[in-house]
Amino acid sequence: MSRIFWCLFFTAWPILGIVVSVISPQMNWGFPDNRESATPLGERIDDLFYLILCIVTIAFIGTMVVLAYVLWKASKNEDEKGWFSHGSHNLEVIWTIVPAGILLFIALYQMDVWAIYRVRDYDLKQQNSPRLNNLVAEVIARQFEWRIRYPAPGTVFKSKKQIDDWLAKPQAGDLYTVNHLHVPLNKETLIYLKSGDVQHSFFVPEMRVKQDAIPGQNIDIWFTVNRAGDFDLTCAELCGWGHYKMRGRVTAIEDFSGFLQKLKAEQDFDGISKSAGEIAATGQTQEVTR
Amino acid sequence: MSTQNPADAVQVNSDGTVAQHADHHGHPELTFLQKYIFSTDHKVIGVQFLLTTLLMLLVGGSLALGVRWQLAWPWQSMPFFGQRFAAEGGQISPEFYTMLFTMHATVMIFLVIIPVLAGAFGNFLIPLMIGADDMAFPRLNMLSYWFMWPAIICFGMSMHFGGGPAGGWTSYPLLTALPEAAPGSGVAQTFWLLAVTFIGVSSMMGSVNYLTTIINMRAPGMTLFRMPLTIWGMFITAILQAFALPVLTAAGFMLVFDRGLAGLSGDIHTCFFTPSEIVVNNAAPTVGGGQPLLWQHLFWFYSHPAVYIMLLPAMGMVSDMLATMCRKPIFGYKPMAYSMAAIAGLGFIVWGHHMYTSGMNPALGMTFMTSTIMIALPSAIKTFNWLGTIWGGKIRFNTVTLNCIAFVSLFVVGGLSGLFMAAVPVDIYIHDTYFIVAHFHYVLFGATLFGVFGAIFFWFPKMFGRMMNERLGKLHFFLTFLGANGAFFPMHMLGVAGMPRRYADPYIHPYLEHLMPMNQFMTVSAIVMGLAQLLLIGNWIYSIFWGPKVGRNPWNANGLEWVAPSPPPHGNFEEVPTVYRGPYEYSSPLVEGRDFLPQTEVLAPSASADTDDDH
Amino acid sequence: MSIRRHLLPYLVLVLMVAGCADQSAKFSSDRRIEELESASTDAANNLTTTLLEHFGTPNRLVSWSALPIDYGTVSGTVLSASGDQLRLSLETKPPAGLANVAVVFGENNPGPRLAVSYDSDSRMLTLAPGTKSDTLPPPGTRVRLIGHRLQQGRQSFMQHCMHCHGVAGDGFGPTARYIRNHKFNPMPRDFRRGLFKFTSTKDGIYASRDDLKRTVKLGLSGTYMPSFLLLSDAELDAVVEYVRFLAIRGETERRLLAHFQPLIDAKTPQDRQPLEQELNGAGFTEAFNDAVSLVAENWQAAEESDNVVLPTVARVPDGFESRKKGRDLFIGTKINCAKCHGPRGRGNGSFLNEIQENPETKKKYSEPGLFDNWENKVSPRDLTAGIYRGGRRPLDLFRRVTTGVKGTPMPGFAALKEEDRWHIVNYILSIPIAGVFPEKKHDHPDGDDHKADKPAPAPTKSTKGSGSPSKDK
Repeated sequence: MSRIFWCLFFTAWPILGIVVSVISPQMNWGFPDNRESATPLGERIDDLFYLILCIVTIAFIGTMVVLAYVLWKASKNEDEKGWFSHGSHNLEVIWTIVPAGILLFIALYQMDVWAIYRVRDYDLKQQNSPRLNNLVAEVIARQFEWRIRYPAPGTVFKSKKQIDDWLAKPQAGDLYTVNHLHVPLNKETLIYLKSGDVQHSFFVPEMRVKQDAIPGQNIDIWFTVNRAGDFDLTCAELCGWGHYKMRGRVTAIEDFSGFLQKLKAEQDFDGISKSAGEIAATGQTQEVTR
Repeated sequence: MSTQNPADAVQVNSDGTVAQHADHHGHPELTFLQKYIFSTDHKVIGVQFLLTTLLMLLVGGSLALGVRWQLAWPWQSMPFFGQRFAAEGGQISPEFYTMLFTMHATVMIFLVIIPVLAGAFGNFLIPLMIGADDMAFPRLNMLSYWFMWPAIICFGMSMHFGGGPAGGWTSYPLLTALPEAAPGSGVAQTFWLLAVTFIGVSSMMGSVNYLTTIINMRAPGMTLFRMPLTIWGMFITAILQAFALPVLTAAGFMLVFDRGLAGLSGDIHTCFFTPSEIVVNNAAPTVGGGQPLLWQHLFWFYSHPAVYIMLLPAMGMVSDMLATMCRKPIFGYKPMAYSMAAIAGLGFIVWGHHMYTSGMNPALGMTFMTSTIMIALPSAIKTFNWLGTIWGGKIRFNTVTLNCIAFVSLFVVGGLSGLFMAAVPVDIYIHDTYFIVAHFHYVLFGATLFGVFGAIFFWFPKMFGRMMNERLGKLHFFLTFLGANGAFFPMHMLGVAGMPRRYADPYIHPYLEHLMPMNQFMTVSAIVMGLAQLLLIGNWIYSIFWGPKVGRNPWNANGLEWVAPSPPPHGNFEEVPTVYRGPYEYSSPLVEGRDFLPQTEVLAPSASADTDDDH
Repeated sequence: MSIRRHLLPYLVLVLMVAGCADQSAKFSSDRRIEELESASTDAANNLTTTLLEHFGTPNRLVSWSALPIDYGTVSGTVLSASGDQLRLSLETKPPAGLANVAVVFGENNPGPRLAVSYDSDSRMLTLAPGTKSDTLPPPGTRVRLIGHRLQQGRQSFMQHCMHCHGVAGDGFGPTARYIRNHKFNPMPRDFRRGLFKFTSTKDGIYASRDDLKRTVKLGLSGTYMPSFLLLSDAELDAVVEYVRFLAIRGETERRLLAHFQPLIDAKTPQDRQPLEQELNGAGFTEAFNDAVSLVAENWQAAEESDNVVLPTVARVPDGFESRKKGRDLFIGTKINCAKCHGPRGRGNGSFLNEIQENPETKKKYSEPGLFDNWENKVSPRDLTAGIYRGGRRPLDLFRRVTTGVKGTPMPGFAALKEEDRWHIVNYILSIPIAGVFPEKKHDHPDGDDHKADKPAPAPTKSTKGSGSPSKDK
């Protein structure tokens, strides 16, 4: 009796696991908002995720079926002795080579996306490269907030050197916000990530973007957001007791330069120059007259 | 193979009692202190390690329940802990939470998993399984146990200073390098580093001892390929530890120096990990041109192999137990041994997969991805061979078997989920989310700890001469298995939903709000699992005193340890055993009427052809 | 005074159950209460019970119309009162915190009740039986539900703020002690003085709701106070209201303790006896009423638009001339910013080497340097860092120059001409970018660095550290 129970037990839990996994998108236990990534690269990451998920599921079901089968057979073995076998050379070869092939395929198949995400040289070193002006902002992670600095509206970067200088020192006309990063929609975007104190990690789940901020380094992050809207920004590297407090937001907007102009008007506000409604529109600071 | 047993030990009569045996060696009568506390006997040390680690398992488990409580019912008063540790307003404070998960990981890794495998079972089993009378360096062995206590004391101290260590078990600088960076980065962190160093020294003494013992002290006839897979696991683990641990110790000292000569003076310090011009909490800007990533490289150069240190011995023990319980030779003995070696070898060149998003040179990501994905191969081979071992066997569903099958079936989950994070692009998303937490809990709890539970039940008769209670054992297994899966399986979903690790209150982020009910379910499962461990403790205590007495070989197993009396006396064997074959000759057609053939048994010349070396 | 007349017209108990951690949680009290207790148990009891009666505990807050606090009120009409349950039709959509509120029938029949269910389609709220055996009103009675905002504020405060600012807002929450691991790291604000550093209000006036909201929203750059920008507006308002509640409670407590100070100071029982009688009886009631009305008035005044600092002259165009004038004022003897901020703006002026005097107690500090009203050592801002705690808008800096940083040795210079204040603002804003010495650009004679309308220059290599940005386009 207990033999049947335990055989069923070891068969039932993988089935339960798979059922839970299958229903999880319906239960909203999947990717944030149950939606595709907001960046094209993120969509490719999702595809790779699902590819691995398929392979893994097949492997899981396979091993679990075999486990259930051998358990069942072994448990009702009526012979006097077990099967006296030290193994099979052929089987060993098969189950070495087949997984090796699959694994190698997985490894090689991933390379491309990684290359686009991090390795590819975005010809920033070239003078007057158009990509130089994909620079949108510098994000400084500190305990426990995101401080953001945009170059002055209309700034044109002509060389990597200029970008480096901009990163090294505040410049006239720079615009500052906190916790809320705006990026242009449908446009290749470069942000530089810095750390103000300890290590942090810039994580936007809906965009499938994650990059650690290392003290003492400027790290470039490239992405293109192709869905307008707000995306949660979180910290994914332990940065102290308030690690969980680093709630930020990334917003992709069509009219990015318009946003910068508004931000500029707000930041240059001297108590007299602008009307209240005009400035409140950015949502950055509501109160104006006070 | 030669043996270092004293020549006279061979001549000891097989009916000699323990005392006679000891007398024969010229030992004086041992006092209680010498015999049970400061003992140099590997078995006593093994049991000491086992008791200590089980105690620490309870400590680590309680810390985990604290973490789970906060995740399920954030900022609400904890039962039991609540009154003791609550800060103002009945809530725990965030830095207390940071301390909880840091110390949970630290205790579980450094004080439970590593010492229970290498320290407890390594010590107890190595001499018995290879037919030696003790370890090569008994006194060093004793020292390796007693070096655990300064570590435990230092960890305890660190929890009481400045809110407890707050850097996570990975202790990434600058959080841990600058005392101003976090509540626990002051004295607590120094004590933490000190404790890790003590544990490192303890492990190092152990691994040197195991290596020497396994290489030099095998019984006559015990060739390398007649060793049980447990010994292979211990052997490879010892190699891993001996080569990887110095790096962590060195890194630990570098960090201690970075912190200002062990906290004695903040003004005199090195800058291995500290870059210049960093202002933390309005402290003076840092000087020096260090690189925080260096720590990650050094740390993971140890801590990735450490993952295999935490797994390989369990794999070996499960192989032995499965073969015994299925009454069948292990399927593919040599591939099993070779794949363990392959895991160990590859284990040294995969550390970078912890750092895909860290900002190291991206080209390294590709290299590490390939090696990491390939390390799944030996793991897969081992899994298939375990299935092959069960295949055609004559299985008995006792507690040992159940725990071993759980090991295999949960290791599959842990191994397969590893593929996601081995792939760099997917890991960009998965990294530092609960998916990672799910993965390593499936490997470390799902696999290793079930292996350890099995091993406790399997070798308990050898340790104490009595069986453990089956009924309680099965109940413990059942509840633990359900609890573990209930607590750890949903973590995969949390990870895919993007819930980062180490958040005291994830629900302030709108995209995580809906995950609270799932977290509550997980916490309830974890509590069930935690309570189930009381059954293990109860069973243990009950069985030591009232369990049914057994003879030398209750499982009808083949290994050398079953030739010795239960419990084995000082010196283990009445006479030096001679080994004629491998340890897995179950159901051999060479013998009639029984399905096991001990390694020491002499068969008629016609039948005693070396079977194991030819397969 | 109008406030005096409104004092204590009714008391409303607001029970907090939802999301609470520990029912026994208390507002931690001032350490001097213990001293008072050893001097006179009656006085200490009098003080604590009065506070408890009027402010409650974190889980049982008391709302009170005498205070200028918006507790959050929703009106409704009784639909039916069956058994002990009360069903109401609400006039407006109830906010988040409406789990457990006080219900007021007519003008004075308060009783705390728990909301059992709410149907958002019909706006129908069902309330559980109250703790008091109040008579249930007939259907059609107008009802007010009071306290949801304060309750929501308390919840948010306990989730986001309490770790540093403490349950009672004393700036010494569980995590606060670690924040002080470096002497110049500012401590979390202690609300109990009604004193907040960065406000838009004039010297001597408390912080307005908008000031507090702005601080919570944007954080204080360069300190441990992070930005809570993404909290919802309702949540922000609620937190601000709760902070004001805590500040008023704390200040009342402080003022009552000051009332009892002679008793604490009294050495012998003989000295105490007459004091105890004098301070504990009618004197205490009067002191309490005075304290409450004074505090209430102060907080109300902060909301008045007359008390806001606003320039009447627009910002003087930024440029060499203006910066030069600013620099001259900065190092000049008249206001002498350099005395504290240092001639190079690094926050290391010579004044820091002198021993200062506590303006309240008139006692000398034991070590040289500057201290704020909370007796924390503070350092003048390093103006080269480009970090502006109170905000980086010209208006923010204008306000700093005008009123100073409240509670710190940074004084206001309201007497200075507005143009001059703008010159200083322009100069200070230019320091991190162009260096501490204003420089005339050779290619642009008037040194026009202010790029209000034109696109800003492409950043280029910084010249020898002190030059203004070059503008090679």
